Amino acid sequence: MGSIVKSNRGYIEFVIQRLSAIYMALYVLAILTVIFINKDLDFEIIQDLFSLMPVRILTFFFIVSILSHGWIGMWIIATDYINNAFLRNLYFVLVMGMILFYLVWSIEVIWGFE
Amino acid sequence: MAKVNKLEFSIYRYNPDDDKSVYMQDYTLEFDIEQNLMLLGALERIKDELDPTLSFRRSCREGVCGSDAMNINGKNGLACITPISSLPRKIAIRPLPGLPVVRDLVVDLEIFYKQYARVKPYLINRQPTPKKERLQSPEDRKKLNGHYECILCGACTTACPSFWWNPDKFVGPAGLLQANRFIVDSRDDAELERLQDLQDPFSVFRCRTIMNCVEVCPKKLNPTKAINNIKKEMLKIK
Ligand code: SF4
Ligand code: FES
Repeated sequence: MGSIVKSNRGYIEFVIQRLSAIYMALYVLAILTVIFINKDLDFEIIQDLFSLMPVRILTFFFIVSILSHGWIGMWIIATDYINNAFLRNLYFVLVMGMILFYLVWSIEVIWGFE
Repeated sequence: MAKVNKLEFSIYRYNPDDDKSVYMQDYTLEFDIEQNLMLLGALERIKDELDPTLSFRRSCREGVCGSDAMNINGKNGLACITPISSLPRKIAIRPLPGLPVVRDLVVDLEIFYKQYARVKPYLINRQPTPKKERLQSPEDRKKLNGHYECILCGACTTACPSFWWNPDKFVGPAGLLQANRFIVDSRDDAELERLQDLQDPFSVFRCRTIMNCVEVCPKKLNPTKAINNIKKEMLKIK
């Protein structure tokens, strides 16, 4: 079974998937808590909240978690179901392109460059 | 008077020499309900009385050798320990899924055994050989329960979608159950290597906890639990 090179990539991805899932769950819980304790939540409050550097950084980590979690999952789906090498690579390019686009876009949203 | 009943079979047929295609062939078998017939017995009667060209593997006829695993009404199992009374009167028999068919119900298990061999299913111990034997405490011996009983019938691995998609890379439930059997064995000292050998994205991590293996195992073993133990042991390294 020469197709398997000794690597620990599967293990690392496994750990990343679990950690990112936990982080995303905690972040969503935190945001929901903010929404529930602020009865009269409005644009100002949200803007104030997201002008804080720690909130921006934690939000950025949230985006990174989704994207890395998503990439690993999409990679697994492709290596299960897409056998044609050309189609599989095309799919990888598309998914990677999307992920990079979301990454740049989320930085723009969080830090609000003009 | 014997109570006679009729069984309708629909059996997968393929002969590489003269058949152009694969087809399902129907057989009707009369049997005495009071006879406690097993499915294997029924197949043998079809071969004897109706169609000597039907091929299938079998040996022990008591659930020990693992030769007669097949797909029975959509679910993998051993024909020799499947009572006809547990099945409906219409029975569809197919070879184990996901493997090349050699003929009728006989599949080529080569890739299954290759994956089994990959986990080094033997004791590795680099300590000097003791005069008599390597002792093990009763507690340590207990850890092997649920592993050594496997008869390598292949029902679990061929029921696993992850194995269907990547049979050359994913070890599959049967092989991983044996990997864990040696990982937990107190007399084996190659635990670290065994774990490191399985850390690529396919060998063990392709298991998505579908649990078809647990559902079909005729020995009531739990490969999913063993697989999860391998992952847990990996987390303890370093
Ligand atoms: S674990 Fe069960 S189903 Fe799988 S090969 Fe062993 S005995 Fe057969
Ligand atoms: S014939 Fe041996 S397990 Fe069925």
